Amino acid sequence: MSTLLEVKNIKKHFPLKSENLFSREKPVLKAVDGVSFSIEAGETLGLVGESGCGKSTAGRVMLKLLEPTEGEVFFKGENITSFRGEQLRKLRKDMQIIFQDPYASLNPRKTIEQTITEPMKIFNIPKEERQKKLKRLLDVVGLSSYHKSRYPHEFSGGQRQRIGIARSLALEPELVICDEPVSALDVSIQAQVINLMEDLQDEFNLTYLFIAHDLSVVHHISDRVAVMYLGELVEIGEVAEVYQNPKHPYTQALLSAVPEVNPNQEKQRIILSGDLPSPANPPQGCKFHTRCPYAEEICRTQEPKLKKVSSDGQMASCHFVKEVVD
Amino acid sequence: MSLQPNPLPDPKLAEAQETNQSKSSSLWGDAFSRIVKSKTSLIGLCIILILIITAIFAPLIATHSPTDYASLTDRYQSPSSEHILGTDELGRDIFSRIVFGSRISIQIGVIAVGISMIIGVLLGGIAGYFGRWIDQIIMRLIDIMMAFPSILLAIALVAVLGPNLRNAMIAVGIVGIPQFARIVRSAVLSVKETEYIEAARAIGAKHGRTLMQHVLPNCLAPIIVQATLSIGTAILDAAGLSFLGLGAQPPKPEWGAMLSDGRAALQNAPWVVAFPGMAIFLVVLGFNLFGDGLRDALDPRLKQ
Repeated sequence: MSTLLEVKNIKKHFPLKSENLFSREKPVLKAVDGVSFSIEAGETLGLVGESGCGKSTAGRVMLKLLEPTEGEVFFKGENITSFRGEQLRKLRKDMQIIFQDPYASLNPRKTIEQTITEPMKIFNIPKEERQKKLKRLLDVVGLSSYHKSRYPHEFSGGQRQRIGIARSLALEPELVICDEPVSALDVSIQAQVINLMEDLQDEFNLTYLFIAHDLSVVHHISDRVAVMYLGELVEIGEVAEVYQNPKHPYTQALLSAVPEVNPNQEKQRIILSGDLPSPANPPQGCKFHTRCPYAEEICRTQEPKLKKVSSDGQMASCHFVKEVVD
Repeated sequence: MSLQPNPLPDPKLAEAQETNQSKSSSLWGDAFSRIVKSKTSLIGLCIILILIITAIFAPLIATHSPTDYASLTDRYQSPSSEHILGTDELGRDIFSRIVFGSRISIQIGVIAVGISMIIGVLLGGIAGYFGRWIDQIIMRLIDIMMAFPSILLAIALVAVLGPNLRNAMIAVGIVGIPQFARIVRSAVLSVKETEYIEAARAIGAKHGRTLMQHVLPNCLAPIIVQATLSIGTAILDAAGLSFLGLGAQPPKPEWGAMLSDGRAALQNAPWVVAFPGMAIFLVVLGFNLFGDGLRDALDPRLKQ
C-alpha cells in the first residue's frame, strides 16, 4: 500500500474578535493545533473525538477547503499546501467530501440531476457521458432514474445523503472525506448508508477518511482509528488494537462510554470530570490534564509527544505510557 | 412538506405523474397558498392585475384620445356621462388619460426597478460573497448614496442627464440600487455559509458559477419582495419628478405630470388633480399590500 494523503503538523487557527480594543494580542481559536498522520490508499481511517475537537476542520484543511495556518498537506506525494486556483480545481477531481447534514448540503433550488451532474459539467465531460454516468450513479446509490427531476425537499434524510454520495462520486475520486456522514440519520438508515459506503469502497477502490463521534460506527467501518482531543491527536492505531487496548486515558474514557450489548457484562465506566476547555484558551502542558484522572505535575507543565506505544504501530501522547522502541 | 416521497409502486406511473406536475418547488407553492389566504395581499394583487389589464387594453377601455384636444370649449368640464372623470385645462378626457397613463406607470415601474435590481443584486452579491475589502468599498459607496434623500438624488441625476421620461426612469432606478444591494448582501452572507456552497467549492466550481448558480438563486425570496415594494416607490418617485417637470413631458398622459398641470385649477376643477392622484395612490397601495403579503408568505419562519 502506498500513502495517498499525508498531513504534517497542520494547524488551523481562527482569529477571534479582540475583547480589549487596545490590547495588541490577537486572540485565536486553535481548532486544529499540530496534527500529523497519513492515510494509505484503499484504507479507511476513522477520526473520532467529541464535538468541537477539530475533526471537521482537520478534514476541510486536508481538502484545502480551508487554508491551513501552518503545516503541510501531501497528496500522492505531492505537496499541495500552496496550490491555488486552477491547480486546486484539478485536484478536486481526486478528493471529495460527503457532508454531515443531508438537509443542508444539497442546493434546494437544483434538481437531483443538476446536483449530481454539476461536477461533471464543471470538468467538461460531454453530455452523453454525463447522462450515462448519472444513470449509473443513481443506480449504485439505490435511487431510480425517475427521481432525477425532483428537488431535494422531496426526499428523506437517507435518500438525500445517498444523493450527496452520488455527487461526491461523480468525478471518480480516490479519496473521500466523510464528515460525519451518518450522524444526522436515524439508526436504521445509518446502517443502510454505512453498508452502501462499504460496497462503494470495494467497487470504486476508494480511500475514506471517516470522521465521526459514534465509536461503534467507526469500529465497524475503519481499518485504523485516530482520536482527537482539543485540536490534537492523542492516539492512533489499528482499530482492533485501539479498541481492545487503549493507551491514552482519553481514549479509555471514550471507549468506556460505548454501550454494551450484554447487560450482564461488568463494565468500568470512566466518568470524566469537568467540561471540554475552550480551544481559544487551551490548558498548558498536556491539554487533557484538566480532566485526566491520572494527571500529575509533569502533565501541567510539559506537553507530551505522540510516541509509539506498541510494536504494531499504535501511537499515543501521554507521559505515563511507555514508549516502545523497536 | 413531507420528507417521505409518495409511495410509488409503478415507476412508469410515477414518471407520468412527474411530467404532469408543475415543477414549482414547495417554497413557491406554499407562498402562493398563503397569499391567497391573506385578504390584504389579495386586494393588492387585484389592484395590480387591474392595472396590467388596463394597460394592455387601454385603447379599448379609453373613451377618448388621451392627447387630442379638439374641443377647447370642453375645458374643465366636471364629470359627466360624456367625460366620466371630467376634462382638464385643454379639454382632454381625464379618464382616457389615466387609462393610457397606466402604460407609462408600468413602464416606469418595471424599467426603473429592473435597473435597481440588476445593479443592486450584482453589487450586493459581490460584496457579500467576496467580503473583506471588496465588501468595504462597495458598501461604503452604497452608504454614500443612501446618505442623500432619494428624491433629491433623483432630481440631481435628472438635472445632469436632462429632463425626460427615459432619464427619470434611469434616475429612479439608480436611486433604488442601495436598498437592493443591502438586502442581497445580507441574504448572501447567510447563504454562503451553508454546506451546499461548500459542496460547490469542493466539486471545483469557480466563484462566478458558485455565486450565480448557488448563492443568488437562494436569495431570490427577499429580492422579489423588495422588487414588488420598489415598483410602488418607483412609480411614486417618477410621478414626483414629472410633477416637478423633470420627467414625462407634455402631452404624455403621465399621472404625476397631470397633477402638476391641474394644480392651478385646484379650487375650480378639483377633479383634474383628484383622479390622477387617486390612481397613483391606488397603484402604490396595491404594490405595497402585495409586497407585504409576499414578504410574509416567503418568510420561512412562518412555516409550520
